[in-house]
Amino acid sequence: MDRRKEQGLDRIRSVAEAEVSRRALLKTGAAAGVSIGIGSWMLRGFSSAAAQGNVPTGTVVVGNAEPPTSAQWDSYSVFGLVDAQVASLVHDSLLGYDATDATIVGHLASEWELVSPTTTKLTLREGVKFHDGSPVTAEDVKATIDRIGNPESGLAWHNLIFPEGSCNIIDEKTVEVVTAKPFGPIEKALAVMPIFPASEIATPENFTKQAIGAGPFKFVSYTENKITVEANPDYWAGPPKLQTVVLDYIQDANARVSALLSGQCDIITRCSAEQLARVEGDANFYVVDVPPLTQVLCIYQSNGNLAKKETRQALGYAIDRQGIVDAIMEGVGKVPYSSIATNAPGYEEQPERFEYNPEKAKELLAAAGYDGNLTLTMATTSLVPKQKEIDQAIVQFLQDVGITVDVTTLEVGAYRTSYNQYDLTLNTLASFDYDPDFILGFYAGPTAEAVFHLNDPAIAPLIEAQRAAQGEERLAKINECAAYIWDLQPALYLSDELWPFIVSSKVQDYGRVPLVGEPLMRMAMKQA
Amino acid sequence: MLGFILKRVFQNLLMLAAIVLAVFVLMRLTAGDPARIKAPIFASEDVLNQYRAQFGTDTPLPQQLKTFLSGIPRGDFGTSFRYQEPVFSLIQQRLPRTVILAVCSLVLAVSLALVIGVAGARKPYGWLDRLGLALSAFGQSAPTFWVGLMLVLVFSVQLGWFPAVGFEGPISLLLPTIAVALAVLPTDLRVIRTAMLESLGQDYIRTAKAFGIPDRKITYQYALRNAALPLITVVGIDLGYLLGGTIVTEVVFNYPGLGQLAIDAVNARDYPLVQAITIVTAAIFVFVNLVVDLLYMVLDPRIRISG
Repeated sequence: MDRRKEQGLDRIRSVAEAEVSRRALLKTGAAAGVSIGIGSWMLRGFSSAAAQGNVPTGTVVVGNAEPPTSAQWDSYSVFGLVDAQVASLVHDSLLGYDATDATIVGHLASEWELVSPTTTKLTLREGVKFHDGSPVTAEDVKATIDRIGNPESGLAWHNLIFPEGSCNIIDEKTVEVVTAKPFGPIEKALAVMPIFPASEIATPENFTKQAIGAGPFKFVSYTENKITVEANPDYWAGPPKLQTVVLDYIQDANARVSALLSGQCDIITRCSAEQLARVEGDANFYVVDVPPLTQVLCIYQSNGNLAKKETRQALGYAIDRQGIVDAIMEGVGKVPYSSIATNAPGYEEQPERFEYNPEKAKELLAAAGYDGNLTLTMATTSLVPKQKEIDQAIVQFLQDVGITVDVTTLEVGAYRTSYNQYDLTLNTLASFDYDPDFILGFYAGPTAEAVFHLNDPAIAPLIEAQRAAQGEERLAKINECAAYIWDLQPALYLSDELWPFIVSSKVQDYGRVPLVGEPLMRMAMKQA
Repeated sequence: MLGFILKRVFQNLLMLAAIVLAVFVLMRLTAGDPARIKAPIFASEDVLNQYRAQFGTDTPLPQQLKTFLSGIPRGDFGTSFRYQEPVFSLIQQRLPRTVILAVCSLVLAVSLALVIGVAGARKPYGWLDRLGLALSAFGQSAPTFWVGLMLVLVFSVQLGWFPAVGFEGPISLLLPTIAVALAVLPTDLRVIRTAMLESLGQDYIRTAKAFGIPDRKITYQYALRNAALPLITVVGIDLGYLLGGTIVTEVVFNYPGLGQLAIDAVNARDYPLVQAITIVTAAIFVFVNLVVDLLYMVLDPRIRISG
């Protein structure tokens, strides 16, 4: 192995997320591909000077299992994988990521400072332009931040990524982002919040026609479920190395692998164990698995039959999560012992692990007043890979402790809109800013009521407490909040998702940070 | 004859109207709010209401139906919830590819059926007849998705001769065409073989042979013309079915046709798009059946008289 690859591996080893992922991947037998891929990934800091000498070349086609949420490009309204990919390629944010170690660096802001728990002062970078040639100004930043920080905005991202807040212009190159309450994840939020031209915000109907950003790639087209972006030669850090990136929606899992194996596609995203097995030992491919904070969980509705905490805890003991992950998900997952993902900052295993113990489950059920007479409803579909198999296993485990489960099979669209009418439904949750605050936000207020039928007044103050804290104290507060929710068992925390991406070895220097989007794509290049 | 045609056209228009109404009602009775599908699962009621207002699903059903029906005469089927484009232009993009795939598949299947079926009828249990029976059995027992997968594995992944997915020009048509043709071939083959066997056993064929008319002329000019009638029925049904969306094949090959668009539309509860696709495919099916009826009249004078 050459020195360059060794350096890359050493850096990778220092990243906890990558360690977690690699162990799991070894279990799937895809390690050979990983080592080649990771070895070729140089974690160099982004050098503007070096990049400016580049002439963008080549096209990388990314095969996704889902299309964009819709053909409108207001990143603050949508939460899909492809929406995040577009946001990270076409737009730029005040802060951002330049390396896989997930260190936040200045992007549209060259400098920033937390001047108080509620105020972040940022100096805007000189000479940055949007794709239409207009300069990125303090007015654009203010328009963007004021919009997402406005509780009346109705934007889906409001409150989950950025709570109530606004932006003050100090001078033409200096702004202050102010939140109504102390907000611990402010830097992570600013690193995923795209800055739009104020003119686009003033005419929101434009979002259905175009995506104008200041990012490394320009939006070219969206036709027939293919999004094409091309290199922005005027990107402030120098042009990207790739000329074109195509985000292609290939619905069928086998078709995605076939496209990859035949060379029509260079990267396929969120792969299953079967897909990984298809490239096992093949030097033409490598695997990158740096997941965002994502969880596969069986959501309980905490009203009706599952209103009592003891009943929900009994389900935790009744179901062998590790067995399901090993036997059905084939190791492409990691069982958590807290209510947040294992790679989340602040994650700690809770002392009560709710590990498989059917006898204890029966005791708890009896204590809750159920003695072989509990019937639960479950909806199943194909939203999660191998969902039917996982759901069947859950049903079997519950039957073993005397719980009857009525299963209804729904088409995906119906499932997504009626899941909270069933006691049990498998789903996934992901954080878009690599902060557990996003996930914890699900368990309070109207969101908790809508998703879990959960209404526990103790949770909101715990969420506020971790938001108000900084550093080590914040990590402790995150764990405190996660532990409280874990004890409530509002869901079966089946597994983290590892998000393995299979990449053609023709694509070099491809890396990911633990986000949904692709902020490092600008550093990737492709062999002819 | 004109009266017959007008009667059939009127019947078909009535059928189309019934289909339009049924689709409109069924889509809205099926669980699934398009606003909830588009919005994240944790979207507030305010966000959902914004989407509902944008989609027009916040108005009473009669109002939605009125808006929908009033647009049809103008060819305005509404704007897709997901693609934010007029649905008609989306269908215009996709329909030609499905038409090409359907027609190519049908031409291949019918050609093979004619060659093998006629030869098989002329020499029952000869090697060509046995090949036909084997092909027929294979086509009927092998699911289309499996055939498609095998074709991709061999010819795209292993040999690299053809694109595995998508549409990159005429070359992308070959593998899906074979997969679809294999699915419709068995019926065509059996129909033409049976019909030819029956035709070749008729008195007029024996008479023609007695008059010394060449065997080739008897087979292709006399027997085949009569045997073609049931084949035309089957081909008409096949064509209508295939134009309605070769859904499985389009998914396996990620072929950007009408079938795949239909799946996306249903999953997204994209009412205008589902409605328009259904109307267009139903109209095609009805039209093809009308053409088949007319062809019958041309080919069989007895039908003309009774009609």
